Amino acid sequence: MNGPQTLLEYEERWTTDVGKWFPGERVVLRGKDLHHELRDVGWIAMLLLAVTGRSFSAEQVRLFEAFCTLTISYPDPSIWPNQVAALAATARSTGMLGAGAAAAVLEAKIFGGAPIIGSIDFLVRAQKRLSGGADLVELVKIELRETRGIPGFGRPIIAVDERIAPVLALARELGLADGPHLKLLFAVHEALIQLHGSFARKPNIAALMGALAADQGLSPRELYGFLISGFSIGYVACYVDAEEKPEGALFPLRCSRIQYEGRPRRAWSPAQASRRGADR
Amino acid sequence: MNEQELIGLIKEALEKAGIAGEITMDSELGDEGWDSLGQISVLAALDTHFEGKIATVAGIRDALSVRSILRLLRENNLL
Repeated sequence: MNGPQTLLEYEERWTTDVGKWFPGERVVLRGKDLHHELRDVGWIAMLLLAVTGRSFSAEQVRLFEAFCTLTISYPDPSIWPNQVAALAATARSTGMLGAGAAAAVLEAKIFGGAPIIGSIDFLVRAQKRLSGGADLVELVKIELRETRGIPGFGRPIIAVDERIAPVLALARELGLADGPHLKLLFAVHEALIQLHGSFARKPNIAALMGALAADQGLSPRELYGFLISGFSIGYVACYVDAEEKPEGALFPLRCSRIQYEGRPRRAWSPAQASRRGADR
Repeated sequence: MNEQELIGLIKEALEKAGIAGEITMDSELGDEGWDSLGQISVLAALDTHFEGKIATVAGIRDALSVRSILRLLRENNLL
């Protein structure tokens, strides 16, 4: 922001093409009348329209729906964001607060949206450079050297990603598996095999989602916007489930199981605490 | 291949992965920038040198130091 000029320009004025509520009259979303033109539009199609301003085919909408249902919403309370929501429930917090906290941890680097956004960003960048005549293996080498990995390749816990096969099969069924970014994804894998043989990292679901989304015309920023609510099934389910469990009972760990190597137990007395407080 | 040649091969593989530093018999993952990409590069270089025999060595993916790689190579009669 540069001085007051921006504030003056925006005073009582917010120019947007997202939409507008005209009280008692109509609602517009991305230039379309919500209650008439969009009456029969489903949740995913509406979300895509809201985020991108564009309409997508039924096949594309089905694919993006599968992103949410088949890949990033596992209802397992030990998965980190779900654990946060479940913890909120056993702490007897509210569902909205629990969901908000769960969504917040999805800003992590190695899980949540970041690997997916990293993947689409890399694939879009790589595609542009290849169009400009770059060599793929060299490009992969540079990316490895500079960022220490290819986004969407490798999986910390297990080598196989069980989500790849069903999502790829669905994309093929829908006729959406022939795009240039998906082809590039496979070519990048081949390049990694050329460099690292059988030790090459394999693509995970983040790479596949990034490639498929890029082939449907989404930018990294648009995909990020779409994914903000995409993870919710898993953590909402875990919140609701944990609500029925005893308060404070989520994954307790008895002290004797903690290998503590810090300072030993110290004596404490209210008088000492009071003196320390006075020293500050 | 002897111990010094093994250290040389590991050093060269790490350098190709952009990791420059002193490598000794006591070096391990985490030293001098030796990261997971460096580890993959080391294993791939060993596999090339030993003509594909490294990938089948049990425990090689968890060998995170020069010493443990050396031990596995010896146990599998590759060194």
